[in-house]
Amino acid sequence: MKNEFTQSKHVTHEKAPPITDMEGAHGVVKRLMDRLTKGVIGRDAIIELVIIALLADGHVLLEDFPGSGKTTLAKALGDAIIDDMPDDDIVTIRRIQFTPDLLPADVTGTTIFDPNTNRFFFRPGPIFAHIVLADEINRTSPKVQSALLESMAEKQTTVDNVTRKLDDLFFVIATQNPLDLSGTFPLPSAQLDRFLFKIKMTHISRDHELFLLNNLASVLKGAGDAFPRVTRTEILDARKVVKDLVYVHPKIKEALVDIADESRSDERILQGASTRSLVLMIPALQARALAKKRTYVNADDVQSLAYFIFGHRLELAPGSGTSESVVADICRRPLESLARQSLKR
Amino acid sequence: MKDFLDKALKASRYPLRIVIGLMAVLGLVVSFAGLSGILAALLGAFLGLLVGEVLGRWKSVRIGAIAAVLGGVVLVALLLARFAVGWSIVPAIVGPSVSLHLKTVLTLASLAFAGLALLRTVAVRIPSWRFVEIGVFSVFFVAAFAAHRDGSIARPLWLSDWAWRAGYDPSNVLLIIGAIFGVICAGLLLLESKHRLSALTLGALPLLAVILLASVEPKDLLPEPEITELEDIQNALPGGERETGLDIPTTIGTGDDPLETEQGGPLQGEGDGEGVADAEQGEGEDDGESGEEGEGEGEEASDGGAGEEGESETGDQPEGDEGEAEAEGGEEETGDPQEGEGESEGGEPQEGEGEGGEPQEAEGEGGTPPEDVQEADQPEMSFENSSQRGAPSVAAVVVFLDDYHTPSGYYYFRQKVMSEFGAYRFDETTREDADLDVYPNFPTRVDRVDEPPPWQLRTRVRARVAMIGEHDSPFALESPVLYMPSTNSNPDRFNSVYKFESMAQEVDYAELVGREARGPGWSDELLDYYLTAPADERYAELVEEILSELPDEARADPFTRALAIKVHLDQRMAYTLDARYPGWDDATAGFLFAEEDRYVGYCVHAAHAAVYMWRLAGVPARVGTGYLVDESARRGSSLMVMGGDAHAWPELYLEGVGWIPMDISAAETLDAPGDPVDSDATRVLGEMVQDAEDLKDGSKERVPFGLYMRRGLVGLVFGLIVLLFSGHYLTKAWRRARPVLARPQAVPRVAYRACLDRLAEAGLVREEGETREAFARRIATIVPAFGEITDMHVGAAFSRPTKPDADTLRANALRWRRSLAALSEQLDERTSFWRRLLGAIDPTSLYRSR
Repeated sequence: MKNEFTQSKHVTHEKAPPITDMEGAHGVVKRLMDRLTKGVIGRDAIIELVIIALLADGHVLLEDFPGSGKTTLAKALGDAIIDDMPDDDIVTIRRIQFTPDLLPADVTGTTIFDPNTNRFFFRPGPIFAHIVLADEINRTSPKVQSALLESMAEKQTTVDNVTRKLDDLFFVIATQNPLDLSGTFPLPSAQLDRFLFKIKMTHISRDHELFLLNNLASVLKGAGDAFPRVTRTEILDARKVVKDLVYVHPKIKEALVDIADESRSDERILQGASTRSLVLMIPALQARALAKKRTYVNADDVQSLAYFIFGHRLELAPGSGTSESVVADICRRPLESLARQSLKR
Repeated sequence: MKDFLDKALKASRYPLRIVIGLMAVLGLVVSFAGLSGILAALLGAFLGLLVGEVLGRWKSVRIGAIAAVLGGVVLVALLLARFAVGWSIVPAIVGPSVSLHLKTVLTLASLAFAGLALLRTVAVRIPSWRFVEIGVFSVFFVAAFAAHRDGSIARPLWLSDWAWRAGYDPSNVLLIIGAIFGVICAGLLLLESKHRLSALTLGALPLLAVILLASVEPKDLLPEPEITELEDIQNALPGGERETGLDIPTTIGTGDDPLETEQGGPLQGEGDGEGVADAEQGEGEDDGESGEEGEGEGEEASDGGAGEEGESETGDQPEGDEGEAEAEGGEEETGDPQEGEGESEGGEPQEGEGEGGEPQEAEGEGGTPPEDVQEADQPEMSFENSSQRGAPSVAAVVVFLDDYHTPSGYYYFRQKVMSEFGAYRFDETTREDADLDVYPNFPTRVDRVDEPPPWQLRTRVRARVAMIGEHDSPFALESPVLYMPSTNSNPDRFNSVYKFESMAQEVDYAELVGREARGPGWSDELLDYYLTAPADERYAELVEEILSELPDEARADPFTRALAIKVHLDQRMAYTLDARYPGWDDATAGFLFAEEDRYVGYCVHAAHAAVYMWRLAGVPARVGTGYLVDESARRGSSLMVMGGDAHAWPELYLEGVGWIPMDISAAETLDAPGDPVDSDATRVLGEMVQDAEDLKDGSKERVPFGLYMRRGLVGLVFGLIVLLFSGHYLTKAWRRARPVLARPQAVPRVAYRACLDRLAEAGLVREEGETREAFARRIATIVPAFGEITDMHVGAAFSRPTKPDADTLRANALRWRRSLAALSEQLDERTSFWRRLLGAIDPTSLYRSR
């Protein structure tokens, strides 16, 4: 059973050879994109970001109103991934609905006494999955939040002093409602820092909405089997390819550092970008380059990801405008100089 | 080791820059400042460079602020400087000289400091402005050393003085200094530039050279001994004296018999003294200028012999002459200025030349009469040339206002006439009714000549004359009708400027036959006056002998008689400046009768002889003096009249035609033939004519210092502007051409930049902070091809550095070519032509191409 795996009902293809080149990695992205855009209408940009985060081994925090397709997106993602190790007890997707009375054990799993065997055994919580949809993450108490966040950062969880590894492909899509804040526990910035992207979703366009209504049935059905899925291994391979093959020019790194510098010296920003954000950003940039079928990171990557990476990490002084404009401001000078660099030898 | 060398080389630009900056400042300042001023300027410049370097690195301050502060420093220093001399307290405390020094020091030091500090700051801040700094240095430098453009190579006197003393040619010294400066500049540029700049700056170098050349005029780089010497002599001579030493008036005073003292003429009377003075001055000045060497060395070898001889002769002669003169006629020496004059005038011009070293060359004799046959021209020409070379002082510049060219090839500029017969020579008339066609004084208003020539056979010529040096009467192309004053735009240069209107002869011999030899209103007395000749029988006999050969009817015609005499003289005359007749009272008699069948002498002899004989033959005649100028000396409408062109010629009067010169041209020349036409001298002359043209219009030459500075500043600014503009265009052109020229590895960069330039010219410019990709997307509707170009460019810039193989390179090159072509096409199609044209003209589009 090690080598063979029985195809789940989703599996529509043979086991692929390991992905080692850009072509293959980009194929993964493409398949994911195709499937997700089929199931989630009008969210192409966000889908792309989510895929980038997935390949960059980061997590995303979606901020949106209820009913805007967060769950659909997460589910579509879970549907697109084939668990090619079905015997490891880790499922493809789990959803956790966070409520104030949720306990850490509800997230991480707990040790249960089995009267039949008279033994305690560990019963994994919902975080033992490839994709975890953490719905309304700000509704739960900080201790639950921190339990989840430990798992996110370390890819492991500790229950009863036993540390258990989570799956390599552990990807959290957390959501929160930006408006309905009563009775919530907003994530402290240290915890926000764990999310690679915070994505503010807006309503989809009129055309897309109309399209959705008109084609509700087929959209609800999702991509189905018409579009090829990807396996967990393929995603992990793609991650490796991203890390190894997409080149980040030193000047790009310089620009990132410059951006962080700018954020730290900008008066409107109380707390500038963390070093971790830069560390996390590199794979994100690489992943975006892959998504764009490039072997190198360019300034466009930096610019288009900057807001999603820095937006939730910067603590703005009151009255200093939206974080979007602030991020755009701190990026301007480094990006300009980066652009000019390309004309120099 | 290599690293160390590299570093050392790189570091050497600091001392190099200081050297070059100080050199430039020194060059600029040294010409007008004293020691304290120079030191202050140097110190200021040095500090300026240091401070500029520091300020340039202090990035948190804007350049504008720095400029303002530096401006403030200058302002304060200037105010202080003003107070230093303006406040009575300061001089009272420190003494006037110290306060003056203080002023200079403050002014120069602050200006040098602020100027260089600003330049340096800007250069450090904006790398592409480094060449401006160096350009400014160069302009400073050139401004200082180009001061000699006024015609004297020697203008940084301190330098050329030294060079002359040390035995070098200052022009070479200047060239060497220039070369050193150039090398330092180039080295500095190369050191300054990172790779990116080198192309630009190297391109700027030749440009710089061109601009410098343009501002210096190549001729200034050539030594021009003649001119300078001229100026020297002119300047050196005391006011009343003749600038060339040839002047007729001066000679007059000599009282020597010019016929005898050809060589010595000018030297003798005032002569020796003057000669010596001349020589001294010559040396004194020539030290400074390149002048002397011209002859002194170049010609001395050959000339010198003669010159020296001449002098020694002169040296001797005076005694002998004087002895004689006294013996023969105390009158001449002492008393009869008139007599002396007449001839010396004629004589001197020649002497002057002779002195100058021409004697050997002066072969042609006086002038050929206009009517004269061609052969006669030859000697003339050489005479002319030689005279120009030997005594190149410029007597005047004539600018013709009418389109007139003399048919004979010679211009006779008559200044005076000598018609009153003395014992042995002619003098200016003392009669009221004679020689009324001569205008004695410089015009102060439009003035007619008392007795204008008949209009027959003449054509009207107008011209403007600018006199250089002292003349005591104006001259005009014979025969003048009208004189009027003209504005002297440059009094420094010209002593007087006037216009004349002449009725120039266009006479044909045939037309002259059959005319009466008497003026319409002449009294008998006047006719007698013009017919007075020496009583010496030999003249009459000779005339009789000549005329006896004529057929009777021809004998009856005055002109034919005169012509026969002229031809006789032509045939027998042997021209030499060395002719001297010490034993003869009457030099003209000596000329005619000393040798059998040969008349040895020069133009004064010939003129006198001809006039005597014409008068004896019943033709009114007189001696005209002035200048005889060869047509070949003319450039455009300008004619240079050289001191060496001074000449005397015989004139005769015919009814209906008036006074006409009929010159004697010697058949033989005893003096050594001159060198072939000196094209150098001709060229210099031509340039001088041009120069003189400029001068005439106004504004060159010794300008007061303030004006010079102002003009220098204007020139500086103008030069900078030109430099900036041409620099921009050159850069544009270079960048446009780069993709074709570049190595394949560099193509993505340079080709992309070329695209950016073109887009910028079409008004498509990347916003500040916009990424290249975003820019490409933004303008994708207009130039879709730019997207791919951007990708290729950014890919080359930011992807993993690899060594591409030949195939890839070729493929890439092809891809680039195709994309560029597409871009070009799309630009042409979708942007307005005028917009692109405007962009191409706009030099600043470079700055929007980013």
